[in-house]
Amino acid sequence: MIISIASGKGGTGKTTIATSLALSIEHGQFLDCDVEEPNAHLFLKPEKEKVETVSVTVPEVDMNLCTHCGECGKICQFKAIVSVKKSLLLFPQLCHSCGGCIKACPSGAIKEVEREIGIIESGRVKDIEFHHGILNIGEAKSPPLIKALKKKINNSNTVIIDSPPGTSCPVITSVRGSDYVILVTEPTPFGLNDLILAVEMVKTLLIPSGIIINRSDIGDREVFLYCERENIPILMEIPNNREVAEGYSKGKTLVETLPELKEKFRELFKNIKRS
Amino acid sequence: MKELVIISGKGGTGKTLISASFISLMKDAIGADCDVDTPNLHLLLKPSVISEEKYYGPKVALLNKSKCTLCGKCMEEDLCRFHAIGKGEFPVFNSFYCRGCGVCIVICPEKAIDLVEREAGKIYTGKTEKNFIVYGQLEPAQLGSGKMVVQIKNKARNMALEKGLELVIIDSSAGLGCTVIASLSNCNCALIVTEPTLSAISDLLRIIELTEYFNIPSFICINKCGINQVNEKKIIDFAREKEIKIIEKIPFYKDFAINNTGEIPVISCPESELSQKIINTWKKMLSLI
Repeated sequence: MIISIASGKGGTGKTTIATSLALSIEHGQFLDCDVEEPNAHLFLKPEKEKVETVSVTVPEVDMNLCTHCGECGKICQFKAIVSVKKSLLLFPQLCHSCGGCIKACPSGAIKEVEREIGIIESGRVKDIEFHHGILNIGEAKSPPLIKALKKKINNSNTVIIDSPPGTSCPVITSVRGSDYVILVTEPTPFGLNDLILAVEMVKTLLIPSGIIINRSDIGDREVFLYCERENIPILMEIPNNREVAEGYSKGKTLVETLPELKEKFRELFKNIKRS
Repeated sequence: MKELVIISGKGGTGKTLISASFISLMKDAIGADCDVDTPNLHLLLKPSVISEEKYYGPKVALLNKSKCTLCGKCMEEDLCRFHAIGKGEFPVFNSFYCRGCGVCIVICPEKAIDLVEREAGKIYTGKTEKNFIVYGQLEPAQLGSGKMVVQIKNKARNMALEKGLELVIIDSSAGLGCTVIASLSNCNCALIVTEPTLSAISDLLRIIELTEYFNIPSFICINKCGINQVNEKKIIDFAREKEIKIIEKIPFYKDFAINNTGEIPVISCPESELSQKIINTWKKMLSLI
């Protein structure tokens, strides 16, 4: 069973929920798919066991074979290969690794080479298998790294995915294939606005979802009314708590600060499994 | 004309509140909300929309069934690297997976496949009492957020040039990939809003690497000060080492956090301590741009 933790808005508590849920279930796999700004390791503190590099393929041109016909530039929709008169310009960062230029080249002058975009680090926290990706600085596209990270998933496990914020490519790549998505929000106009967008996203992807309202006693009641109106289950409410915030700032998980929540998270997990 | 971008790496540190405050303290500035997945700037500034236009995302492949002879070439293993073409009575083109690379079009002997534009959201121009803002809404689960950011920035820039305005203030999304890179590119300087938590520090170190990578001068504002002094000191030490100026430390105001219902403090209660801190931040920022 794969459960993703997502939210439209950043800073609502995705990592807080994901890490505490994993520590309450006490087994399975944990994947931090926020490869732009991974943070879960700061809380779970896994023992690092393995580091792998992740690459994408980009074209390399043998200029001795190139006849400057321009076919490669014509097929490339991303302007990653541009043919101008007697020279070829390559922009590897724009390349989507579609392989079009190779198929288009009539003289077999193009081959694929690997370009590193980031790393995957793996380790263990007690009985939990931990993996996260770290995108290289200046790299624009995170989905290829997220896809490589998700290859670590073993379907017989319980898998917790900590997703990046937003509602587009990186998030879709992270949550696709999940059996359930937990959306974390806060009861403010911003939390509500972004929750509505996140709900639309999971509906489009046809994944069942429920909501956790973090800092549930701040702001206003609009998020609660929205969930009631739309018939979206509220899985848990976590009140604002200075001790939790201070613990968070030091890398302490929610269930370390409030151990009594472990049972609630286990209950929540059981309910999701049953649904 | 100058461009200031507000970034953070981590979400929820206060980028949008700072951006909205700065914009409302200006007359003659243009705001650009470059968080196109979950735009929030307009929720604070409450502009009246003066124009809206359709946004077209990356093109996607579409099959013309009347031309398809079911030769199966487009469905061959490994042809579509994005696995966007599934098997069925006719080839099934999945627009969620399609990146619009056009490889299937070249392989199709019947010319039955086309790349078509797809409406993926809207870009709005709004007017507040004193300023203009440009913002977009990408439809949830659509691709092409980076492209939309580029269009929003271009629109804001052109408006500023047209109206002879001095400054564009850009509210970026969290992270440091495609949309953030698009928000940063060609800006004159960046204000990084951080907070004294381990997560925010980890993200700060990476976002500074990014501004260095693109050679953009940056400044730091530490928000929510007081929740962890050890971490505050870590940020100060790190900024010193990197020779980045910390322009302000804004304390954590519990009442503001609890009663957060979408007001901009510098407008709704300009005399408050929080407002005074933000106004100071703005004055310092303005002298540094």
